Amino acid sequence: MITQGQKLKIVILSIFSLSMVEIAAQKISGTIVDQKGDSLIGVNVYLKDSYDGATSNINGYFSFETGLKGDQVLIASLVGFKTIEAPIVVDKNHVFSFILKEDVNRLSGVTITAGSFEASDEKKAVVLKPLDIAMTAGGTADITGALNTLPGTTTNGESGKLFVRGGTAEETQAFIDGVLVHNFYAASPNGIPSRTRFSPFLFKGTFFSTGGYSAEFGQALSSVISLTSNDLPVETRTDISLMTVGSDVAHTQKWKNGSIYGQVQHTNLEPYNGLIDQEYDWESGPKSTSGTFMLRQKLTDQNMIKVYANLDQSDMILNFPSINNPTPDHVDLTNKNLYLNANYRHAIGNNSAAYIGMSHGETNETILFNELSVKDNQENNHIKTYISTDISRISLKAGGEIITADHTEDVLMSDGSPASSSYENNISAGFVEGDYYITNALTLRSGIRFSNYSLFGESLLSPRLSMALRTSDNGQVSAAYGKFHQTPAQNLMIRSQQITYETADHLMLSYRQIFNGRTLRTEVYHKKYDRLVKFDPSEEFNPLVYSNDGSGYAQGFDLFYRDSKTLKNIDFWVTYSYLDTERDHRDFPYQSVTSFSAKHNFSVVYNQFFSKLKTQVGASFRYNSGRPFNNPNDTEFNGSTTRDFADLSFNMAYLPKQNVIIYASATNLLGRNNVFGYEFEDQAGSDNYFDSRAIVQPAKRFLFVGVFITLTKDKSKNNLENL
Amino acid sequence: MKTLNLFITLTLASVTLFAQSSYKKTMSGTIMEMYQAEDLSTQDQLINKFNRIAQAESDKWEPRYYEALTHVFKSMRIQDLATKDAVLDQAHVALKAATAIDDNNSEIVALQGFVDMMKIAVDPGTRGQTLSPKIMAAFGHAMALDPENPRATLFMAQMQIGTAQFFGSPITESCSMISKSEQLFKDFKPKSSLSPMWGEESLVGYKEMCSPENSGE
Repeated sequence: MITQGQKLKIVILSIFSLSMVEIAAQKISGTIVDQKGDSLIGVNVYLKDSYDGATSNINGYFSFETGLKGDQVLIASLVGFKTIEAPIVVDKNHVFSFILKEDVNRLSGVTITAGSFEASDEKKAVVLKPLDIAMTAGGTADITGALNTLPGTTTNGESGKLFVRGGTAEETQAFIDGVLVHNFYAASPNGIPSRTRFSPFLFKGTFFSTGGYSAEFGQALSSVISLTSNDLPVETRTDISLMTVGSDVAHTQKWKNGSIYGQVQHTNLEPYNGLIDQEYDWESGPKSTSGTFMLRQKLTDQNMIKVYANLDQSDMILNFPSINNPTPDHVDLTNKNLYLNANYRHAIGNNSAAYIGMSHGETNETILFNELSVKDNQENNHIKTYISTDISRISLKAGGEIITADHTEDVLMSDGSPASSSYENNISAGFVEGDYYITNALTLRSGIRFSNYSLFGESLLSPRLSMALRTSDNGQVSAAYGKFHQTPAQNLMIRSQQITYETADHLMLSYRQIFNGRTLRTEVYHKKYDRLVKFDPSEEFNPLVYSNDGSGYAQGFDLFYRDSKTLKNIDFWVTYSYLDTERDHRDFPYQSVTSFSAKHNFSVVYNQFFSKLKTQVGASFRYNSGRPFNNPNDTEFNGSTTRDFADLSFNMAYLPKQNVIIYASATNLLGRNNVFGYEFEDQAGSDNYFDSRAIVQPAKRFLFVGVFITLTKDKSKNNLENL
Repeated sequence: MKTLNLFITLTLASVTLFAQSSYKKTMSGTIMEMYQAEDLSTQDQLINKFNRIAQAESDKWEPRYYEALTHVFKSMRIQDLATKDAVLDQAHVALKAATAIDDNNSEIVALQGFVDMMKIAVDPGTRGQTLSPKIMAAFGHAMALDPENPRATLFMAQMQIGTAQFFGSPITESCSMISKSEQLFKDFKPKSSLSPMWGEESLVGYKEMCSPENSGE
């Protein structure tokens, strides 16, 4: 039996011993160095779950006292280094020395940049900002317009699309949030430049690769544009845009973990075309009406569902001059397009994620060409899923996808006879790719892609390999190699089903230096094309004359310099690309230069902000040496060259109030008559000479004025981000 | 027996109190040191100390808040923009940990907005446009969570004055907000001895800006 008195003693003793611990302090000290033996300053050294600890000084020395006794865990941690946890028994004064190892992982490692340009606010060391895409003069707020000022591209003014390193427009594939965009460009007849269907303001990130891209991306022979859509908006708002070409109203409704966005847009260039002298005789339009819907819903902090839907109808009627007819060709085009994109990302723990995305595209296009009628229907689907995980020095991504295409063309000849062709192509593919961070200065990426083409009954493996090496604090060397393949362009597939995929091999080496607001980037590359589709132009409608016997190459180098530091409030970039390319494809009789590539490509983009005037002013100058064209009066195929292309464009954005933006832009200030090629007579005249007609800009200049108004519930809120 | 039970209860209570006061005592002392720290290496030591306390007291938001605040004060001493930006990112990491403990805390939300306001200064040309609405929303949220928080009101007023100056619009409305935050600072009753107490000093400049001869009235 313990008496009350004894109990009291025990309590008193235990309280006393508690304070004893406080008194009998032990000293723990030591030094910390890195792997090279250099002292580490700022290391937090402490006993786990206690306040007892210290910070290492300039000599790597630390020292602290503790009242804790017995089994403890001593921790040494510093940002950028692997944390050390050492079990110790505290029974006397201790002296420790530690070596901290540099932490090597996805965040600390060097990013592979061969072939790519990225615009982002979130990632470090990117060359472009999201706003650059919208604000590039001459780009008229079009994504491809801005990308056309980057190295590796050749401006094809009559097309408006992207032509990358000797590739055709179809060889560039666009993705939104990981899945395919099925009709990236809005409808336009031959010779009239088209714009992308997507506003640059919907995206927080743009990744543009001119070659050597990841195994995740298939069906792209030359280039990839990968767009990342905006996350949750900050607030509920309404945006009204009044433009010389039309108007649109958008509303964003936000709740705690989600938002919806609805937009209705109507554009009509008819009044504009009536005012400004046009090369072509527009009877109607171009006009278009479109509706966009977006949903964002966060399931948890990490997991979000994104849905995008767009429905668009465009119409235009014009009379197109032709060298073969005294009267112009009558073209009447109607295009209906539906695009759906939905994706979900699910975080698994801190280091892994699962992704599933799908897209669906439907296009119905009717073209009346004089007496001829062509109805084109396309239905495309893409489903993709992958899992990504970071395990220490390795980042892995593995996934699979299914792409389906269903394409029908119904032609009603001028004599009333119908002709119809169609094809279905299903592609299933799988990919695995790993990034290995060997040190913080050296990263290796290797990936492989397996594809099966149902239509061709063929399967193939394509390897991808790239690396980056940091050569100094600011400089890095990157290299990439890969095999790429793609289904031939739709207009070839619809003509013949005896053709199969086309291939390209990319090899490139680049050097990049980013120092204090300045970026220098150079790249040299070689591409080899094989299995390109060829046909006999005299029998264009005979499927049997089509083969994969073509081939080609492209090689050259790029220079890019951007500077936002040297001149105050001025930001500019200069690019130059040299391109040497030849192909034997399509209707070519033999290997020759191509009409969509220019040897010398140069551009300067300039932006200056005048804070007193609340105005941003931008200008761009683009120059291409002449592009080849085929002159039947000349014996050599594609042996002639157009005059050089040059364009000086201007834009400005004025912010009179915090919720109003007035924007104006003008292309081709110098009024230069740019020629993109020539159309020749089908039959030579009596003098045995083929007469020609120059293919020129639809109008000398394009002028644009718009007023953009943002309304929020709280008028004090500032919303510059929309332009 | 009753006396003994009472004695034990009292003793246990005092032991708990001792632990509690040890937390408060250490924190108060460290917070005091932080307000007075005048060089980077002292600030680094304090950041590490707040970090240690945070790990030992995983249910308390204050150590994470002050760890972040020390990063903010440290960033003000740094000229190199990339380093400044990295320090501000560290502040965000600490604030994220604080939010995980208390996700409805006006002080944490206000400081998150303040860190972003400092991040604008690193690259005003591009970040101003994308971060401004986010910051405004953060300050608005912080004011809603605690209308008495003088810092939330002050930061909101600062942000509005910056915007108004850019657009050359009158700052009258923002000035009434400055006066309001001045009053809130005067009336501020700390919820605990560890409540944030900073920010009042930057009122001086704004009060001058808002004085009748300067505000153009």
